[in-house]
Amino acid sequence: MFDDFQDDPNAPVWGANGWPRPTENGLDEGDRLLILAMLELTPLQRLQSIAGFVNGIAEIQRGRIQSG
Amino acid sequence: MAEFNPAEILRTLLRHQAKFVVVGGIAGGLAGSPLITRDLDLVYLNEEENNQRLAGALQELEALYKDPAGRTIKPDASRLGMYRVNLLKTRLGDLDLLREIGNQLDYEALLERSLEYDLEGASIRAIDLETLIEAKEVANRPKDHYALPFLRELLHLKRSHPN
Repeated sequence: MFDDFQDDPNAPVWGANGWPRPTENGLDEGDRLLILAMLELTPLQRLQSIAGFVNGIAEIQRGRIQSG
Repeated sequence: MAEFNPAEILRTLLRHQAKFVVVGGIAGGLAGSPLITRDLDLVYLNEEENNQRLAGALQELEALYKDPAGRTIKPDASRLGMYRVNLLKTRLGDLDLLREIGNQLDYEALLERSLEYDLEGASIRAIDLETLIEAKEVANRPKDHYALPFLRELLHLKRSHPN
């Protein structure tokens, strides 16, 4: 079943008509889940999550994170 | 690039009793927007006493103007009184100090359209979602077009689930 879905040659082009996830007012289910997850946090934790993302990218750019 | 720590920048400004309102992406983040931003935007009260307080905090934050020519220009009360836009880099990340946003919304106007947030020991004010949406509609940049669906959804959720 999973392989059928992955390999279906008749599936729409990704993104066409919101496939595989429908959008509503410009957002899909994943976007809404992200908003709901942020609302679970305190204001300070929300700031920390934004800073964590920014600093994580900077750290990778500096080459501090080593794979493996 | 300095480690970005907006909460500590805000705490530093509060310790110096500076008067400001958080705007921009961090205001959205405080309200629950998942969109990422790498600078902290504030609208400040442009009065001599407040500019002195801000200057004291900026000294502690080791702030410098982002100068395209690479000169070392430190912010002070005089410059804060003169410039409408102050784009700074600090030891805790980028900080933009603005005199107004949107349709000439200054500190006093924004204060009436702001909410209080508790940062666990520090209380700050940030513009409400309605005002942030309005400012982004006025700015009308591609990045604002991207942000608006998230902010409108957040506003819808908050109105339908106030608690």
